[in-house]
Amino acid sequence: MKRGSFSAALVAAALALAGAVASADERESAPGASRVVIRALAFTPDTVRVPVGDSVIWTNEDVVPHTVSQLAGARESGRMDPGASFSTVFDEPGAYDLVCRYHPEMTSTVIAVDRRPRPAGSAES
Amino acid sequence: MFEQMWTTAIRSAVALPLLVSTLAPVPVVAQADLSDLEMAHVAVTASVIDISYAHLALAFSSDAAIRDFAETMIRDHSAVNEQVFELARSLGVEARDNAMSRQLLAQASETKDRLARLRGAAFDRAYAENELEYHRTVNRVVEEAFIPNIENGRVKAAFEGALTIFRGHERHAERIARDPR
Repeated sequence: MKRGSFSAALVAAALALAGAVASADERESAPGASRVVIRALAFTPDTVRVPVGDSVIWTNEDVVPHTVSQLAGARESGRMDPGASFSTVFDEPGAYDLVCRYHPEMTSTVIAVDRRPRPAGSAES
Repeated sequence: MFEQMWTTAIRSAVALPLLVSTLAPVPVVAQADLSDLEMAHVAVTASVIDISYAHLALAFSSDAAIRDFAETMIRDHSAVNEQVFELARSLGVEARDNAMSRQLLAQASETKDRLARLRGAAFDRAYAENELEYHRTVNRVVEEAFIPNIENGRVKAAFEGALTIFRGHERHAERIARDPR
């Protein structure tokens, strides 16, 4: 192999490696998403714990329509036909109780946990 | 050819127990010999009947819980029936009318006549109680008499999935029958 082509190969390898690292960083820094499946008249899992800022995606794999509706709040999927998905971000810590408006016995809870470090000197709330 | 296989090789002897009294919303069927296609017809008919009860509720009831339940019955039973039709289309067969389906329809006609004479809380109570008893009875037939005798795997899976939905309806009906407003 000529010196010039060997150097070019090294540069290409380095760029490829840098790209791979950047992709890994993007995956790490991208907002996370937890998935909940709606099947057999149930949310599975029925309780989800997520970091604040993450989203939850519900997918209706049942044969009948459902909703994802917050009991005390504004989150509302509307009618989700079989195959439909709904996602929402939980940007405040807390426990969010959800229900299917069509099937009130279907309940679910999302617990959003604040894992961000507190700024130095900040007061406890 | 496939249909012939279904109606001969897959034909099953379904011995339905004495299920309910004459006051219950599903007729007494002591003995039946139903193929998969006939059982599918009974299931579709049972859903159509429940949809017709729900339309009655939407016409006569102003109670929010009753109306929500009725709308769910229309939505869910329509979806389950569509799934049955889709399965039948993919198998190249049709659900087959039979004596049990006709008996269900005749009994439902009497029930609707009885419900249609009621108004207000009396209607709501009778509708909720009928829904509870109807789902209890149909679910028992599907679970104990139909599913064990269905031999086509896809049909059996569809019935098992539908039973899960209908059990949810039974629990929902228990709630509205127990807590009339």
